[in-house]
Amino acid sequence: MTSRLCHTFGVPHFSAARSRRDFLQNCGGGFGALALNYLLSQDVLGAARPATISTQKPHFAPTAKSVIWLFMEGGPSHLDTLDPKPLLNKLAGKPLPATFSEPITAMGEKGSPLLAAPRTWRQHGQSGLWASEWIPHIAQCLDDIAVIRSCWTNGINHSGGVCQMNTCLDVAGRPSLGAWVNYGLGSANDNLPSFVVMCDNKGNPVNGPRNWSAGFMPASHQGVRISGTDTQPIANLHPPVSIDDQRQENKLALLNRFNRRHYEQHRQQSELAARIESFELAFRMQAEAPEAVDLANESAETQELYGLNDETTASFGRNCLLARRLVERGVRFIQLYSGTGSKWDSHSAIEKNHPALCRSMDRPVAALLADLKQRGMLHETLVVWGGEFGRTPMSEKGDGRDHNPTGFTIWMAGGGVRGGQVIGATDELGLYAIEDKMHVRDIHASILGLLGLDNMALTFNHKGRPERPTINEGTFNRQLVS
Amino acid sequence: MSRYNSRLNAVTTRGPIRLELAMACLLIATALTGHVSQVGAQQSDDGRLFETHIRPVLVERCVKCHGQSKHESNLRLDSREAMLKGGDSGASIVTGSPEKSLLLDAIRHNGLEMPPNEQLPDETIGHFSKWIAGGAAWPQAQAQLRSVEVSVTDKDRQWWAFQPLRRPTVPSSDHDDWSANPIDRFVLKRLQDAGITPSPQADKTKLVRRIYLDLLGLPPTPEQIDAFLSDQRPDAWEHLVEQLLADPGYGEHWARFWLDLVRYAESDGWKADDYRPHAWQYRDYVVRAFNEDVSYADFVRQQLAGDQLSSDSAGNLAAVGFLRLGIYEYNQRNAKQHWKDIVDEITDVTGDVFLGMGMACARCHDHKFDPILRRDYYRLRAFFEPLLWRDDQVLTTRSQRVEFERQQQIWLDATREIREQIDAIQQPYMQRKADQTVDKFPLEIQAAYAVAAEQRSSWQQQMAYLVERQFVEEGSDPLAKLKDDDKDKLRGLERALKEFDHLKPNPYPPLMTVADHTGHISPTTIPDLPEDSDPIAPGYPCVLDELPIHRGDATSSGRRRQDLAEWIVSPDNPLTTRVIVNRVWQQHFDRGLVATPNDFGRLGEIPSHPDLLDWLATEFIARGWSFKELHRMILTSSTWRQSAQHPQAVETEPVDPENRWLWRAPVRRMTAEQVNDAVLVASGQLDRTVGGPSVDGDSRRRALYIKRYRNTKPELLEQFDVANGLKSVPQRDRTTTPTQSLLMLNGSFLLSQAAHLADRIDGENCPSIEQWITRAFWIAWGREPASDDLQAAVQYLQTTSDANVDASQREKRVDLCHVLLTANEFLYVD
Repeated sequence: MTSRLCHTFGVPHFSAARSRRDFLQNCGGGFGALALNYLLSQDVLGAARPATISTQKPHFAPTAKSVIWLFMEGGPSHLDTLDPKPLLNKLAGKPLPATFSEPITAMGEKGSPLLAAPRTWRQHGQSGLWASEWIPHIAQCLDDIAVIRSCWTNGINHSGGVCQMNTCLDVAGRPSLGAWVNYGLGSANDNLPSFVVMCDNKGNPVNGPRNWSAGFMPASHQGVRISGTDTQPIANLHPPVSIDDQRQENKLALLNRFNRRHYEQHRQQSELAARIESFELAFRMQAEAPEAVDLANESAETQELYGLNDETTASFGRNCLLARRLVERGVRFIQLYSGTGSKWDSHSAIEKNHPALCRSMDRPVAALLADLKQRGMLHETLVVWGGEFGRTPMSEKGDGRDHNPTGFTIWMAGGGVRGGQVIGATDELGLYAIEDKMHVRDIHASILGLLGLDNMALTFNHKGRPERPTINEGTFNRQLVS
Repeated sequence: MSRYNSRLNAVTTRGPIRLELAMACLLIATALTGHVSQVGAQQSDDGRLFETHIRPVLVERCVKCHGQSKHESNLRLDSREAMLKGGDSGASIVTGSPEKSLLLDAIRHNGLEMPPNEQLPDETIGHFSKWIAGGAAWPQAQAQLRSVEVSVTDKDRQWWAFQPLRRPTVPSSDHDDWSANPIDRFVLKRLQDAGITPSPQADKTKLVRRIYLDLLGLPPTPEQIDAFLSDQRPDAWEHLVEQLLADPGYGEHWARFWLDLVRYAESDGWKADDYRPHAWQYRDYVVRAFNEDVSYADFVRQQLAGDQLSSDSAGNLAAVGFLRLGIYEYNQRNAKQHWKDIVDEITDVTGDVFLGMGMACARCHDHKFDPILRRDYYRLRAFFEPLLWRDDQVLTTRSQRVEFERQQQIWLDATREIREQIDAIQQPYMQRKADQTVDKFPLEIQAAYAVAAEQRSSWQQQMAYLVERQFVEEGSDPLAKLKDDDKDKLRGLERALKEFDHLKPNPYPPLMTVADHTGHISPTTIPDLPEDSDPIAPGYPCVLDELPIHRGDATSSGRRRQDLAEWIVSPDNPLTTRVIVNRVWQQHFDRGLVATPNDFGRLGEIPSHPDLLDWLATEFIARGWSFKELHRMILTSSTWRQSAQHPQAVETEPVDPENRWLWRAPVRRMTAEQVNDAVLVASGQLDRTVGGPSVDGDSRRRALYIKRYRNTKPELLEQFDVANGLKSVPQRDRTTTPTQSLLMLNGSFLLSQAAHLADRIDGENCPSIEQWITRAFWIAWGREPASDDLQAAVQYLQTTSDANVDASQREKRVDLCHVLLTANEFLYVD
């Protein structure tokens, strides 16, 4: 039984109270939390359509209902996009001044000279925020964007960095933020997964599917990778062509018959009823999922806006447009990888690598913001842009930059975020975050906060420890919304 | 690895290099510090500031002198009231006014200088200022701080799991025609107290399927079911139990729950997730240990200290592979933090697995609920301070090794000249890469590496291992850049060297193992305590055993891990045997007598049958810590043989909805491995080869042998909740999702195996369609079809509108097989 201590401290326990969230934890709620449906409806085999878990309540009034996270994998340079540093160009070629302590870098080059950022910087919009010529379209949206220049993280390598940006810790094993959101808020659409991942090429980001795993939570909270280009947007969505609809339906009917008979002998086992319904849900998904990813109904203007007709932007543009369609259908948390497979990583020749990647995502990202805005969706859709870390002011291999986890930029727009503002600052060379520092834990706490979830109140009991999404730290930076 | 080893030996001027790994001195782990929070309903920002930045500093740096046991200058800093009251110099804080607060002057070293030995970082001082300015919020949940030196209390020691094992009297009941052994009498007593009756015995057909899946993880074939049903001996059941315990499949199945617990996987994790080609040696060791019924005491000794045991068994070196199972990052330059993380993880998992106590909380602060002190964490960690990773060992007994080395020496002597010439050519190339590798590390690590190997401390040796491993594993082969004439020369020399191959000893399989450092052992310290704090000596959780352990002095290894193992397997240890018998019970009944198998603390659940738990633990010890004896007791009980269907289920359900009192058998979904293996048994495709290197996912071996990567898992296993290999998993999740259903309906594995099953039955030439169907039911579900199910299946096979009748008929038979393998009756065991 639950100890009294837990009640005193409000630690959720699954064994005693059969509350909704407890039950989810125990039986594996999340995507299609069928056991719960059964519990609420009492008789899943009856006619009544059971309640869905979208009735899960946030802790306080949210400003965002869903999140689109644009993940620039490999680490984009803040020094060349949104955090101008005039001193860097002045000191270019010289070593890091002695007043700066030299960080441990991933590639271990020591004493390398500073590398100029030969950018053209302009102020934009009413807010006058700065952006470089590498992101001309995003620059036009800066009035909707809060630029956070004071981010920092612990992992100095890609694996730890990407893992931490997803799970708050650089060491593997914790649930991804999308899984926490799924756990905390449930789904708004039973027929689609509520945590979706898309990549801009066939490859995998560093760490692979572990990035969107549910860690120590049941696997039903994990992200589902979908593809807008494959014939099957979700794995195993369709039977092989040799099995036509009639044949599939006949099989399902026979399966249903056997399963119901079996269930009648084990009525106390709600899991069996849940599995019966999961087949019905799978069948419904076969209908709904293809429609969600079918862009045929999108107008030519929209397709043009996202850059679908341009080879450079088509891949990421398609994913951005899909993201909007999924948000419309109630998908809660969507992660889009740009440069999948650490492509943003520019240890050398940054002047060649970065412009190409910026071109591939700049226009689609701006299109996504504009499109969401014009459809009246931006105010409740949080868009997050950033990598796992930034890049060093010091050069590497002469013309590249190493990883910089101690100071870098991400930005947020929509979902209640006040645009046209800059939060925090790095030092004069952009090496260390110094003002209003935001650790990854603060970033996550803020995203959760915008969704109405208190990062300290959202707990999952794991091995005798009430686990929290931000590992007991992290603060919602309210400057985002004030 | 040993090949590279000799290369490095040849090139380095920094002393002979062995690829051994080591353990980091403790620094503040920025990634992991401050798992501190108030567990309460209200969390104001100020409260959070206190919990995150103020409380830890007070506990670590202040209350030792200004707390419960010492209050220097009459000042205590362990409660808000005490701070407001102050000491000899007056109030230490004035809420709202940092500038008027003495405390702030003191930590700024402005007049007073506190803490005396080292000033707090500016950032911390800023936090104090902010905290006082904000009103010095002090959350009430734990009004008075528990100082680091306060040890556990008597009340703490009274927790049930810390009590000595008792030998309870077996209850007896006047009207007991149900109990078959003492287990049942404990269970029946509890049921009678609750006013409920147990279920009758399950029918024999069900029992035989249940026990096959329980002991072997495989469903029985119709022939195996038949053999049992037709066995007329009165002890037919006992015979079946013995038969299955002797089957090699037993070890293959029971190894799995242990592998989950010890976070077994076969890859590095992190970015590259490199495959570990020798990791399977540990898996095979576990399988063998179960099959040979190695006593649990020895099982623990071998895994924690196999390299230090006097028994000369090759398996010992594979067993300590337990200490090699964690993740490893091939290009991590922050070697100090890297090793710290590695050893922290070993410490965590040791607590989880052997003690059933989550220790991880205490890494950063005293445990919030259990009497596990932060000091306890580092006392446990200190057992692993001398640990080195070894990649240059092979799977041999000691005598084999002596013979191997003797023969190896003959080869070395015979080839000395050739090898020296080879080294001379390779040296410059190797040196270049060696220098580059070393240069990438922080200067502190380079300095550690520069120390001659025989003079290194354990920490320096650990750093050296990490440096050298990057030389081996990162970047390209330095010899790829050989100049043409060097290449030619080398080729000739290698040909010459080959002439001596007949002198080489037969190679033994390489493996991942460990050893202890033999020189100076670096002190174990608590991060963010002052550098000059007393080092932590190895010791056990204070609540169980206060005295630190010393064998040899504090700076020598003294076989620390062996001490730890012996303490764990001492019959007096109240946790060890309770934890393991509970785990075995949990595997048999789906739920442990303690339902939280890795948490016997206050946040866990208390035992449903405390007397039974203690009886089993004492019986386990009396019977030589034998797993098989434990299985025999459980499997021959009436409790285990109950039906899942209780005649009065409707009345009983409300009394005990969770079946805690065991009034019926559980209905359980098969595990991921069982699903995979059972499908292959039904289709007749299962390859029963035991042991050896792991295989790719499309193989037809048991799922145990499928390569286990940490970052990506085979689809079927992933969908059915396989353990992730990252944390100790005491109990699998059991999710029900539409993606699972899609996989079963449309995935190629089940579809193709269904076709194999249909072909298999076709090949048996059943005289009628009814017999064909009946055979399919027996193979898939292990029973006769009910008459209306048979009718439905007949009807399904006979209706066809297709002109191509034969093809359509075969399709339907495949479909029927597919449906049988997808059905709940196949997936669930009752």
